[in-house]
Amino acid sequence: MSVNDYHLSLRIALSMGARFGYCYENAYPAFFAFPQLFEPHGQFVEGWIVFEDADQRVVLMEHGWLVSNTGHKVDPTIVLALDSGQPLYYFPGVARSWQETDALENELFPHVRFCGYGEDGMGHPGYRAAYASALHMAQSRLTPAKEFVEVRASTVSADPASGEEPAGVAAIMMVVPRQIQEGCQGHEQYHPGEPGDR
Amino acid sequence: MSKSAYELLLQRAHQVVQAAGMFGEFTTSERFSLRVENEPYMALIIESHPTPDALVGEKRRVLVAHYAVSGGRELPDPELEMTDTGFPIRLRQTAFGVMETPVLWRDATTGHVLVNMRAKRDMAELLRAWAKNIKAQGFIEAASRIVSTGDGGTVALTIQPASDAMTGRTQWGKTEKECLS
Repeated sequence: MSVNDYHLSLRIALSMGARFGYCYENAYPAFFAFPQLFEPHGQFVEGWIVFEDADQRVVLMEHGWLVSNTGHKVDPTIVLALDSGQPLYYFPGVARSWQETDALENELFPHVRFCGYGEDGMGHPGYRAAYASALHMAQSRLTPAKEFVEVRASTVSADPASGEEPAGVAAIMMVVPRQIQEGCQGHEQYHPGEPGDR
Repeated sequence: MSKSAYELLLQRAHQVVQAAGMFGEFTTSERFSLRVENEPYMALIIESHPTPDALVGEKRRVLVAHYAVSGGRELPDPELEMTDTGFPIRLRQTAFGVMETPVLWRDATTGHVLVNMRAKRDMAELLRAWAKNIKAQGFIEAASRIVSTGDGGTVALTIQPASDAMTGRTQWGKTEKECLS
């Protein structure tokens, strides 16, 4: 368990004023606020996490986080809810480069839901596979005493008094230029022996 | 043509298994598992089993891993599952939380076999360094100290400390690890 990654994420979370439940709002600006960490080889990742909370619940959550230039995971959201030693599993579905992420300014997140892969993003094979793996992990951790909870991204709550925090971030505008659609891809049907198959 | 990072890692796994004298079991056993202790490094685990679903025509799956122990849990650091030809299937790494990255899988909806080329490319550098380290850290030599027992199991010995090696005292029964084959 990398305590350094956890502490780095926590420092970023505190410096950015991150809030739990707003993973995309936390991660996206952090990606550009710390170019020494993320430019030019960092990645913005949309996928799923599985963890257990203090109420004996196994939580499967749609989630966004970052990967640094040197391959370290930076998650300024989950550190607000979990200790460094708590079981936590990440299942990346769509990873975008710095350039692809830069092109998503003012776009909706999780962006996989807004670039031609269906309302839930499950038309994206990698996103769907990540969900299946996450669900398998969550089910493997269930016991009769534990409750299963699945949290999908949503728009910001229309009822702030409800006290429920959304997993996603509110829409600003919805423009899907061609380069972004391409940025959503990256999974191909396997054809052995073709260029790149090494 | 030079070998890919994945082929290098598979080659290294073969070298370790061969050094342990267990290549036959590695290629035929229903559940092969070899643990090579090599202080001060984390033990190297090599497993193989018949494939449950031939994604690219493979007969078997191979797993190569180190596991860190934290809070009583074994955490992959890292763990790669690949085909018997070295094509990566899934990488698991621990860095505050376990991250599982699928590379090759069968889509549950379409039945097509899909490959995440970006993930495959991104992890190549890590796996190339790992393959290099397995050799440089002496895991092949450590595996050569594994001695078969009469009951079909094997016993893996850690490398003797230099002082003990000088005196010729053996470590039998002191550091043995059961390996399933």
